[in-house]
Amino acid sequence: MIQLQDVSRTYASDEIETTALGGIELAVEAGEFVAIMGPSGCGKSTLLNILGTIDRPSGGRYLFEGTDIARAPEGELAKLRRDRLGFIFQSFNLIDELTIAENVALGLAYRPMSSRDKKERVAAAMDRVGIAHRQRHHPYQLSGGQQQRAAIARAIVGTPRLILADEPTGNLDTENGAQVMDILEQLNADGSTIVMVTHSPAHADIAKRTVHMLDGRILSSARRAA
Amino acid sequence: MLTSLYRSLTHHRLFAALNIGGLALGIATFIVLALFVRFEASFDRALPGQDRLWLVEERYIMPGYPPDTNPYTMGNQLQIMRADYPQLAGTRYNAASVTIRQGAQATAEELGTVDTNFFDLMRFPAVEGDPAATIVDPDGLVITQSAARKYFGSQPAIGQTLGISVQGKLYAYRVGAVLRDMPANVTFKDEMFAQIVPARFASEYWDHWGSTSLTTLLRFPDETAARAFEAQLPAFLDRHAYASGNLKKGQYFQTLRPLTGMHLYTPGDRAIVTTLAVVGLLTLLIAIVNYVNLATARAGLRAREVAMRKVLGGTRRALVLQFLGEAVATVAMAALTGLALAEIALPFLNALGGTTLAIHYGGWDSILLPMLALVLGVALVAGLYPAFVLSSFRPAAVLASARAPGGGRAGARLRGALVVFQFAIAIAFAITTAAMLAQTAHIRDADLGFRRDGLMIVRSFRDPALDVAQSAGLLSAFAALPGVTGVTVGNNAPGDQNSTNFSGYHRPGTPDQKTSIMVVGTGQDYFRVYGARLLAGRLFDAVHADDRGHLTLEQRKATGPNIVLNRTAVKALGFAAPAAAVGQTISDGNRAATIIGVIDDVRFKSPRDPVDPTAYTYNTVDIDEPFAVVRYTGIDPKTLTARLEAAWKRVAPGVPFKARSVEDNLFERYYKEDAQRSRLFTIGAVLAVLIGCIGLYGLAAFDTARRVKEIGIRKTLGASTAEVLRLLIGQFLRPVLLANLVAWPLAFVALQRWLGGFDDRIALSPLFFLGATLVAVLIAAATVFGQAWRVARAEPARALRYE
Repeated sequence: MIQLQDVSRTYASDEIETTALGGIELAVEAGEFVAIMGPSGCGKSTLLNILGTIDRPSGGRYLFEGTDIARAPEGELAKLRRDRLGFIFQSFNLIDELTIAENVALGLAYRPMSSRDKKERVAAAMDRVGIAHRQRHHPYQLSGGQQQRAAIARAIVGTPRLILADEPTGNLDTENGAQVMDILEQLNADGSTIVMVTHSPAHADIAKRTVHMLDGRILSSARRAA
Repeated sequence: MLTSLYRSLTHHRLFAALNIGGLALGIATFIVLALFVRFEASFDRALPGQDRLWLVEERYIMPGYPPDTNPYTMGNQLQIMRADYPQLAGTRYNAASVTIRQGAQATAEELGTVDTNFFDLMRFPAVEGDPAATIVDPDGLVITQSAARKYFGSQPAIGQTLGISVQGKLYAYRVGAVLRDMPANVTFKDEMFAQIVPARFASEYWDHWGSTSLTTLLRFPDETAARAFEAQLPAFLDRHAYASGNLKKGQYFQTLRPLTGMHLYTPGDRAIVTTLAVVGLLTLLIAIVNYVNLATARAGLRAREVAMRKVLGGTRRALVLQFLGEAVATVAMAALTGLALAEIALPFLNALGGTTLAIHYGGWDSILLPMLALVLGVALVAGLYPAFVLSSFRPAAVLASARAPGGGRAGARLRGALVVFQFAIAIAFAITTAAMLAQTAHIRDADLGFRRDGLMIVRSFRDPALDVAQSAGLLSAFAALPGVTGVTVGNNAPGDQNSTNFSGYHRPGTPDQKTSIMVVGTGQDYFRVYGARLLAGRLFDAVHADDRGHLTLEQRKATGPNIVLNRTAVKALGFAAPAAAVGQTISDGNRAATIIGVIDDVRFKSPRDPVDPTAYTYNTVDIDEPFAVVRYTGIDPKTLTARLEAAWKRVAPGVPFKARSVEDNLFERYYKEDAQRSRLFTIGAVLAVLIGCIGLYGLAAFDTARRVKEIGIRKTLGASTAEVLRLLIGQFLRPVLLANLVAWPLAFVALQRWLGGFDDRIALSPLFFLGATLVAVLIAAATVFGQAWRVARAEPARALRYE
């Protein structure tokens, strides 16, 4: 489904150039659940951002379903994110001024679709993650677990092919973390491809493959024994 | 507190610059317009006792015409009043055109002719001599310091003699007193004063009820007494005016007006000054709104500071005082900057607006105290709400939350409402400015019924010092000048109107249906020189003896003349069409006049006044106080003026020469004040829009900075740059568009009133409204665009890391 070939990412300031990623080779098949692990600063989130096209590689090729999108125009990438990708963040990234329902609806805001269809899909997504009863609340009125479930609803409301989750349980307690992982496992079981950055070996074990990173490079990629 | 303010200003330089800059612009605009309004409203208030003086004014209400009021009376009305009311105190004033002769030099001057008690009522301060004693002498002359310098240089003026030619006769006047130069805000302001001696100054209609011979001033202890006397005027007119047979009861009235109401005489003049006062106030208000908006929008940034101060024992009262103190300091800085801006701008504005406004730092009109009051007032109005918002934060909630309180939806709504308010005013200003400029341009370019270019009025031609031979010699000399294509005379000219005499004319068989028609005497070639358009019939010429151009005044009084009417007169007399009027007769009750032609209306008077029904008569002999008018081509007005003056000096060396182009004369008389006020209004309006945009820019900067992360989220979810731009700009344009709902009706009502003061006016086109809205939207979009573009183009990953 996706393939990174010799992908690098460097950040340059006036004085120094920092390599966040170098020589990344990674392929993810449709339906996979991949966990990316590694110490802080090893480039996990940068890799996820590049996969999600919210950051651009400095070098290499990024093939999405066979098309190199590494240097695709911004408009094309926006369309790709809108139609095929779903994002879940550690800090939820919900918009405080909007209600939960409005936040979830943001996942469809830029799709040409009737408002009735949108409403139905938003309701279904909220139902699926169990936060329909909080739809009129604002994010700051919800617990962390509820906020993350709302963020997952927003990510899946557009039925994306690929869900990218950046430490989705990082800000949650064990119980809420487990609930979120249950939802992700279920989504994968239903056919969604998931790439997840995590620090938790337990949560990584839920994935079908674990990729280990260090200093901007992939050290290993191991499939879970069936 | 000052440390806190300094930190706040230096850490948030953009907000500081926008806040202080916007307020400074608002204050500068307010200062300049307040100076203008104060000047305009200060007329005749400086001298002691002026508030007790009232003018007698005439009011005509003629059927079919709008009411017409003027501040004049017949010459000896005061004497008649004194006979009826012996206790009445009053005086008279009239400005007479005279010629000062010093050796071979002749200088045209305006002489204030006054009663012997004038200086008892008008206490102009004297620097030498006694004005009251001087004016008792029929040959006594009171002059100002400027006139003394002009005519006597460094010589003592008292006791000197000046030859003054009045209506062609020379009198020797002796200077008995010198007045201090008068301030600009005095109505009856002249460089020279002499006693009204009817034998010297009275015109033919001096004792004619309804004539506008001079100004009659009355003194009353207070307004109640003035109004009580005013109530007796109808009975007075019954006894005298109506009994004279000149005026009709129900058509002619007299009322009193305070002297302080002389300047800004017409409702239109007062409306403009009031409007400029409102512009100044509203511009300041827009700047205050900016301050409130930016301060509350920024409140979140200072929430932790407030929380920590409360934790450390600060009371709400102390915090309110702190923030109010900061507001006072900020406004003081803005006021100083505004004062400096006003000082820099005043010379330019004076040049543009034709004013002599100045800021004074000492004396009775010092700006210091008003500025102090302004600083405290603005600080209180602008600082109170933000101070209460900031001091209301609850420390526990603020310190426990990662979010900065921004006032929530209520705060955002308030800011939105304030932006609506600001832009409503700004758009209303823009609409009215556009319409005012269009009207100003219209009255300068409108079809006046004659060709206004290439025409020169020789105003000194009406000087009574010219004898018949000189007048004829001058017309011949002018006609012979290179570049001159025609010369004529008439007792009116564009911008100058001697003939204000109306006669009631009626058609045969309808003696009760009189139409008031102004009669204008015209000389040879009058219509051709002006380029008037003939609608029907023919014009006067030498071939038709019955045009009676050669008759003397006495002969003309006995014989019915041929007349040419204007279109308005034809309509007023009830003829179906111009052609229908030709060949018909109309009568003024004494003699019948035959209509030989009809011309299109020519507008010699103000665009504010309707064109009068006019009958033109033909007179090549002795038009009363005629203006000579010269049509020229192929040369510039300066060259022509020089040639005319040279010819004048050859024929009439002892009479001062005065000429002005028709375009300049119309501008000076009728267009100048409107043009100047339009310019001031435009400047105020542009600044109001600019200040509104400064506020919008500040809010956009604040809001986009606050929403960087949200934009990152939206982009992550698939929003394109264009969609983000639409979202951000659209959000700011919504209040701007909403502002039209307030601005359009406001501007419509204001313009209807203002344009209603013009007889010749533009139509109130919807384009003014749409255009102003489009401009406001474009300016607002451009203001927000820079901020929105920066945020919309940012990489989502970077935006998501933004805190």
